[in-house]
Amino acid sequence: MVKVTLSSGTAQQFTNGVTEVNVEAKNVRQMFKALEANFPGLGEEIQTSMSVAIDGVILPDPFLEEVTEASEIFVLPKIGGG
Amino acid sequence: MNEQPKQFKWVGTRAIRPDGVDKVTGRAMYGADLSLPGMVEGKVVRSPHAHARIISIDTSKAEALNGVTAVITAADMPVADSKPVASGEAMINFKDLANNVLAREKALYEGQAVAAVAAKTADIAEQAAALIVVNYEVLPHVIDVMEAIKEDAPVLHDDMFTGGVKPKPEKASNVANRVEFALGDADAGFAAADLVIERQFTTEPVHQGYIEPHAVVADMNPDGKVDVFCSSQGHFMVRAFCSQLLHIEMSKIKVTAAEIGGGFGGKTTVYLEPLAIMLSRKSGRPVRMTMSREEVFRGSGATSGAAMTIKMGATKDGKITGAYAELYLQAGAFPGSPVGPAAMTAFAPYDLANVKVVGFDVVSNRQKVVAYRAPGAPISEYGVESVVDELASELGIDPIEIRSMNGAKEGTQAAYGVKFGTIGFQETLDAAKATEHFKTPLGPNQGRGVASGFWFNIGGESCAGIRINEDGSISLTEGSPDIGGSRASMALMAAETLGVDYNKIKPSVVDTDATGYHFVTGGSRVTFATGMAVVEASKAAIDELRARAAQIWDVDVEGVVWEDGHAKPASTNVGDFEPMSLAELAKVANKTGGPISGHADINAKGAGPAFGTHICDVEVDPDTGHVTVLRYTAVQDAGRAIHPGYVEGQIQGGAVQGIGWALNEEYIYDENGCLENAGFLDYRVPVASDLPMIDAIIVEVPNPTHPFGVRGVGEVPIIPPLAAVSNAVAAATGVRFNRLPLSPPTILAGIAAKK
Amino acid sequence: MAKHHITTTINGEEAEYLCEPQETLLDVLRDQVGLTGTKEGCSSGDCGACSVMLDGRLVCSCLVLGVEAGGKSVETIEGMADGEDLHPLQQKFLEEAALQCGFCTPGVLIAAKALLDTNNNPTETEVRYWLAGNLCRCTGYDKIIRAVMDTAADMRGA
Repeated sequence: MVKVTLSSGTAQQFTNGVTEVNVEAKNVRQMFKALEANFPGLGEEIQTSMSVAIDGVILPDPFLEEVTEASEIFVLPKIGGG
Repeated sequence: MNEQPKQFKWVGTRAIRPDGVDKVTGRAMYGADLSLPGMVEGKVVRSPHAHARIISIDTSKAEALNGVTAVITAADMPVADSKPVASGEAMINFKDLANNVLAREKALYEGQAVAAVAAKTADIAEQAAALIVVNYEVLPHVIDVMEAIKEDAPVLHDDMFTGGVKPKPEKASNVANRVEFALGDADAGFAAADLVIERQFTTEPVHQGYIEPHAVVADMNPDGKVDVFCSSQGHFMVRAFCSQLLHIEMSKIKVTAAEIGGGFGGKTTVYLEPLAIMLSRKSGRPVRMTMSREEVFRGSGATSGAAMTIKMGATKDGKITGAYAELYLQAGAFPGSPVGPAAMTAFAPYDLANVKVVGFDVVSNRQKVVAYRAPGAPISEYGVESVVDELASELGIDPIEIRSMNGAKEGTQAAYGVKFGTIGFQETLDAAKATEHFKTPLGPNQGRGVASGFWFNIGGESCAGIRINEDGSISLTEGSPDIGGSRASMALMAAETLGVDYNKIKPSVVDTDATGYHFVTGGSRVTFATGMAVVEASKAAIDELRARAAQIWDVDVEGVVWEDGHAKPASTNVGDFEPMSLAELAKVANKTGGPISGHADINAKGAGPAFGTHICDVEVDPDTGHVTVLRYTAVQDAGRAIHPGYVEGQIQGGAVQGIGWALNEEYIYDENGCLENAGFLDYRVPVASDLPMIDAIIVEVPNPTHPFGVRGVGEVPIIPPLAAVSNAVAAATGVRFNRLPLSPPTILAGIAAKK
Repeated sequence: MAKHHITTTINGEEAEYLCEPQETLLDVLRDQVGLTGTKEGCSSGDCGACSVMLDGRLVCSCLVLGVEAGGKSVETIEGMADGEDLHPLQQKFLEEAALQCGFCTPGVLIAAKALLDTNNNPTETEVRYWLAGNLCRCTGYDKIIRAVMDTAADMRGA
């Protein structure tokens, strides 16, 4: 199981306010699928419009990365800049 | 951090930039400097109304004018689906972008493009533009963010329902989106505090103020191929957006990056480019379009005006126990203010257990905001850094000390979730505290302010090619428009990696046909991400050079190392060979397999967050309300300064933009929602005589994921000045204004109210 | 509208052009003469990007008509270097990273040269006020002011 932490705003929309959710996944692709299966709309929302931070590294296009029980995974909005 | 020699030969030197001579002699070609045979000039017709339905557009008189080659309206443009499309960093709704480029049903702000013409001369184009009759039904408008969220405010989009809330609202409103971040329990945090301060702040809309107006030349061939030459922060962005808007395959559009006369985020989208292509298609000629300064102010760029509530609580000894922020940011005519990053950065410099931030993205009848240096962060961090200053002063704690006590460190979890890796916030505070500036006494009517700032920095797609020429010189290609000396940084990193003379390397920013996709020059990413691609391409070239030497020496490639620009035997066991220089290997490349090169096409990850701390001294004239900045010091963690001169320049320039935001700059609207100060005379950016020297102090806490430790520098320096200046003004006057800009009338009114 | 035939001297060479009566010197330089080093930032005399010398006087070329240059001498950024030899100001701007995007640079250099031609020992305040009509949005002016002061010091020493 991997633990995925959502912002409180995202949690209110998709997980009844639960900010830490656990899903079975070995990589980000599986994580998205599992999130979508458990919380319809969430996996899709993250893939299309959000970034994921894994162990402190913000990834705007996460997909191939491996995740483990020890991974610190946060979902956050995409970041650009001037 | 990768194994690197402690001392660098090229990295960290102040080399002359490769594009420098062109830029001091007037040779460099900016957006408006290209002329093509047969070229005609384009001109945009803009809405004079802040909010109006377009009933009809009559172009017949304009089309009949002698010398006019084309007239276009939204009817000439494909209809875009209302659907967000991932495009680089952000989601782009191409229906909104299409409407922003050329209004279809409604004009949503004064200055929005509604039609465009092309004619043989700029004069004729202007006459033709005046002959286009647009019949409008003027609608009620709203500009101010807090007015726009009211129940009875005019609604800009009747199909827009607030996102980010559950259940979905049934009524359309101007609130496009809501974001929320929380850690722990903010209310419990306030209950544990000895002192709680809650303040409301406002900031006014400001413009990036690049000196070069938007400019483009587009030339469409009868076979559908398009050449575009324009000033932008990303020619791949221009290609992608024009392709989507005009339904032209990307491979048919070649965009060449002109030299760019400043952008600061404001040139990360398209305005004129799709119009110029459409006009060229209709005219059958190349079309040049340039914005006037007035058009720049009314119809491009600019960032949000904002309103916010900031609440923070601390114990007597200065430990911050709770924090809350509520942010309202103008998006302009279409959704997409920087409220997300504003919310994420607000409290990011601090290690807080109990924090909550709520943000609202609000549309109103202004131009669609576009990125401006650390989008959103100067606004939210202005409020937070003002309250931190007030906490310090109420509690009798030194303003740097309170930041040190509560400052984020490695392992701190930011309110937006992520745990920081190696960061240098504390180091900037220590360096600021150690300055002679911080210890110098002040005189009457003078005050000192301190503030800090945080920005994430980003990575993203970049490519680089290293081609080793027959004579041993090196052509370096990449595709990040050079907005402030990045060619020099790229060449320095290549020289360091390859072990060759900097002057042997010629870097070029090449067109969209000649390299792979690059994300825009923005987010402080180029030295980090494109730099990473350059280092990887250099390493690939080194591997090839080693392989060539191995062939010549008849040894395994593992037996060849690359040191100081030479292939050398790894040990005496390999054999007794004279080292071969890069130039020697290049000379015989034809015998060892042909030309030698190295390439890297990457999506750079692991951008290093950066922090800055600024100290500002001001003197306030109690009779006029005029604020003079007496002294300014800006400290920043750059990770590694590849070219310290241009790093200092970023810090100094960003600080001065922040000073302008704090003191002078604001959009002023009349009762019809029309901009009253669309020129440099009335929209006053800082001039040389307004300012002292800006002392830039570079701190280097290397980013472990970059081969040289680069973090990125461009964004952070605009963040602290807003609060540093206003904290200094508060110290000088004894009045906390909690609004920007601190123009003389505001200051005088505040001083009078205090009396 | 009849065009005017204007004869003038640009960067020491005799030049002639045809221009409309309402055309600015800036537009003439850029569009008729092909000297695009002089930049347009505002067309209202507020930014200084179009600074040129007209008969030895520093002017915003967007506020001068093309016809007004008739019989006069115009100096632009293209005439500042002597062949391959950069003017000391140009050299110093490169050495001290006094430009970022480079768009305001031609106007700043023309204005700074006008100052140093008459005052080779300006104070920081004099330089700041002299260049107050040349907007730069990238540098915060720090390195520009230093480069001008350092050039003046070099020229005095030489």
